[in-house]
Amino acid sequence: MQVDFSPEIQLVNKLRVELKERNWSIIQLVCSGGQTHFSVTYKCQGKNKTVFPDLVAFKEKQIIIGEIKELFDQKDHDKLIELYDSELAYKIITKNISLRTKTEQDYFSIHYVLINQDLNSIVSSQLAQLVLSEETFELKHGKDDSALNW
Amino acid sequence: MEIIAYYEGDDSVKGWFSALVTQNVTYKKMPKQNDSKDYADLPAYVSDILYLDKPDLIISMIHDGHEKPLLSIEFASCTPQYQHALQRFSRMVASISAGCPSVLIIPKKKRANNLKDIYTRSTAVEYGSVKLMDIFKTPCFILDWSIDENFFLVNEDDTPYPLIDSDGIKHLKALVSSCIEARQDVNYIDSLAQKKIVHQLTDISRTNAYRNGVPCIERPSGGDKKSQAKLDLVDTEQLLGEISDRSAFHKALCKNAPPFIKERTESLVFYPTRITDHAGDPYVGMIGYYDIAFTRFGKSTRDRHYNLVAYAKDVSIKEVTGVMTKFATKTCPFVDDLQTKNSKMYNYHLKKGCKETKSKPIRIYAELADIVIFKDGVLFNAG
Repeated sequence: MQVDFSPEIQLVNKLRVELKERNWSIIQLVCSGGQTHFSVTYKCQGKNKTVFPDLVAFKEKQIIIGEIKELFDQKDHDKLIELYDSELAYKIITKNISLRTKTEQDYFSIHYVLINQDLNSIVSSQLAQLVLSEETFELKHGKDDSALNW
Repeated sequence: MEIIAYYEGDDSVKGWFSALVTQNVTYKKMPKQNDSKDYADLPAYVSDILYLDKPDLIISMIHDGHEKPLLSIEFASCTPQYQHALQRFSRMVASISAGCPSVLIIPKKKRANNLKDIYTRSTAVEYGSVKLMDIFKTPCFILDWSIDENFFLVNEDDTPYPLIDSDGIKHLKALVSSCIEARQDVNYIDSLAQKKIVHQLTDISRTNAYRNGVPCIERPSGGDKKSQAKLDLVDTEQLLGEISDRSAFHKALCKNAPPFIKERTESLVFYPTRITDHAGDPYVGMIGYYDIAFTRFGKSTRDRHYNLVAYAKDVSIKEVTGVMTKFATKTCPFVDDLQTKNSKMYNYHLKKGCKETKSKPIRIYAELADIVIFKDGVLFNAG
């Protein structure tokens, strides 16, 4: 009765292994719609919005906020761009991680990342992408984001 | 001795759960939904647990050549206030009513993501678990998710699950071990009830459930403050009269109300603002608590002090008829001829019908609610 799990679950499992190998500390890693405990509430065009990122991880001074789909997803892209543009979201995320790690809030930089296995995915201007190729994730930098040290 | 764990696909649970037991564990896929073909392959002991809701992990064991459940585990990493905690309660009801012990792992306190608020676990979920255990005579416990001094969750490295070396998970480890031992006995539940860890956890549960004032219909979340949740205990005859007055159609439907519903003199009413939309949240999770905590005295839904009534006065019955029409025309395997690809569900439905495969909110309301009142109709439990 053993049947393969969905491509997104397989992405999550492979990503967890690689994040561990690359010494990232994982705060949240779930499939879309999975149970999350880390959310970010920010204001967008005067309205409160809350997002539940699929991936929240940190290593040294870097924080990754990521969304996971089998293929490049424009809605996820736009959601991360909104977060990227929000100062409040930046403050909430860095404060949360600094409280957990007992570090200064301005210690961190945040990288918003799309995660998929879409080898033909569109290159985003601001967002990096982690694309599963064979068994490892390759980092595709955004046009204006070259700072993530994966 | 073979231990089997049904899981939803996150591989990190394998290392986490295997660290709790000395036996080898075989991990199998939990069907994503009850209407998927994997569901038809499950042993009945396991699929019965999924009838009302789906716990995160179902642990079973091969005994005397049959696979039988040991316990179910639900992980709740949310902040643990009233409604959040009780959203998970239906998973315990699902498991316990199928004769399978159940644990819910949830933090005692947790800092909210706004970083300012700190929420404490509701007494209600602990009271509900004690009532559930007393009614079904089956172990049912709330265990602590590890937290740090800032009230953030502390997880086992590289997993989304609680620290193994923590009080809550040490209790779980002892409970799983006792479950495995007790399963060797002919009468699993009676044997498990004699184990030391079950007595210890029962004492802890009772202490926690009654610590701040017992939940009651006026204050379903317990304590001495007014609750935001609105529940009313009303006269059944008056309620049926009120429903009948809504329209001629309501009146005609009320004439067909089953005698066992009319015979209960009082009815407990809650007020959902949706039934199936948005998966029926949060009411689908709450109905199990209202049932167990305030109406039930026995294992059957007939064993109730009061009728359990969902008064959805602004909701159209189309929320139900629409979902069932979609099921009947798209999901039901009898829409198509028998084919290789639908043969599993075809055979399953020939034997069991759609009781366990229709949408979750419909399953839960059909099973637990005695009356569901809509603006344009009313449904009664078939008994």
